[in-house]
Amino acid sequence: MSAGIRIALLYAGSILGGLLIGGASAWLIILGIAYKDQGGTEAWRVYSASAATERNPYALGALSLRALLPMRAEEARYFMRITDEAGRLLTEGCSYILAGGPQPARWWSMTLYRRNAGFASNDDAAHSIDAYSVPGEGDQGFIVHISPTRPDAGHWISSRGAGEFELMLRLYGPSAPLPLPPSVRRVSCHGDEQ
Amino acid sequence: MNGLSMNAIPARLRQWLQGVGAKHVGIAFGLLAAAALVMHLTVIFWLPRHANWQVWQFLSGEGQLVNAWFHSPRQTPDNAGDIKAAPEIGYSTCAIDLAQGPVRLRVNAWTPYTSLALYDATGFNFFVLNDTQMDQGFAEIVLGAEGAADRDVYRIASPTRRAVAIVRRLIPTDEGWAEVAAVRAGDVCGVIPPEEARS
Repeated sequence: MSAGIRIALLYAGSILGGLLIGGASAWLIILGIAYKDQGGTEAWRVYSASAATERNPYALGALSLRALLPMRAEEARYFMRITDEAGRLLTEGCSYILAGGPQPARWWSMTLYRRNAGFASNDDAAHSIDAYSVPGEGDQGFIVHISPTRPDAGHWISSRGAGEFELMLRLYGPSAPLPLPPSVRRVSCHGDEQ
Repeated sequence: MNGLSMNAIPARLRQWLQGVGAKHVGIAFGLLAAAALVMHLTVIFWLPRHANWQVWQFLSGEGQLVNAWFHSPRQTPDNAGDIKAAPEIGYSTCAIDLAQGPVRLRVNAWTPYTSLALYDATGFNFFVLNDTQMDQGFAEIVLGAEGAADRDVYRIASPTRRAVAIVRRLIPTDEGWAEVAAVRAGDVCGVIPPEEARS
C-alpha cells in the first residue's frame, strides 16, 4: 500500500471516528439528562422535566425527547406512581383504596393511565379525581376506590381496560416542591376468594 | 511520536502509523477532534429544532392553520391516543409565524386557572403568565415588536421567527366545557395589519 493511500485512509478514518465520537457523546449527555431521576417522594416520583428557563442546548435536547412544550415548575408539577404501599405494581386485576388530603397547590388532579401509555380503554368517564370532585372537608382527606367495577358508594377511578397502570398527580400553581403523598393500599385481587 | 504511549497501540497498527509519519498522525488527530466537535454541536443544536419543527408542523396542520387559535376538545380515550393528556385541561394552541409581521395575542382569563406560555423554535419557554396576572380579565401580547408595555399590553421580541403559543385552562366540570367555548371565542391570535402596526 502506497504512503499516499495510507494517509488518505488515515484521514478518512479519523474524520469518521470523530463524527461517531461527537455524535455519540452528544446523545449520551442528552439521554443522561432526559432520563435522570428527577426526585420526588418515595412513591410519587417527578414525572417529567419542567420547561427550561435557561437557554441550555443539552437541556432543550433532553426536553425534546421527554416532554415537548412543558410548563414551568412554578406553574405545574407532575408526579407519577406505579406501585401500591407494599411496592407491588398497580394492576387492573386488583382493587385499591386511594387516600389523601389537600395538596399544596391552587388546584390538583390525579389521573389513571395505562403503563407508558394513555387513558384506560373504557367509557366509564371516571379517569380522574381532582380538588373539585373530592374536596374533602376542612382538614379531612378523601377516600377513592380504584377498581375495574364501580363500587356501591363513594368516589371511584375506573381501572377497567388499564392492565398495569400508573397514577399521575398534577399540581397547578404549586406552593411546595413536593406533594403531600396520597397512599394507595391494595384491598383485594381477582381470584383472592378462590 | 512523542506524547503517545506506543506500547498501548497494537504492533501492526504501530508499524502502519510509523510508515505514515508523525506529521500526518498529528493532522489525523486534529481532523478527529474537529469532526467530533462539529458533529457534537450539530446534534445538540439540531435535535430540539427538529423535534419542535415537527410539533409546529403538527399544530399548524402542515402550515394550513398559522397565526390562528385551535381550541382542542376535551381529551378522552377516543382522541388522546397514547398521550398522557390531562382530562381537566382545555388546550388552545397557536402556531405562530412572524414572516408577515408582528402577531397579536389576546387571551381571556378563565376561573379557576388560565396560563399562557410562549415557546420558540427550540422549545425554549421564553414567556409565561397566568390568570393572577390578568388584572383586566385578559392579557394582550404583541409578539415580534419589542417595546415598552402599554396599558397591560406586553410587547415581546420572539427569539425565532416561528413560535408556539399554548393556553391551558382548567375545566373541572362538565358544564364548564360548554361555558368555556364563549371565552375561547374571544381569544385572538393574528397578524397585526400593516396600517395598524405603523400607527
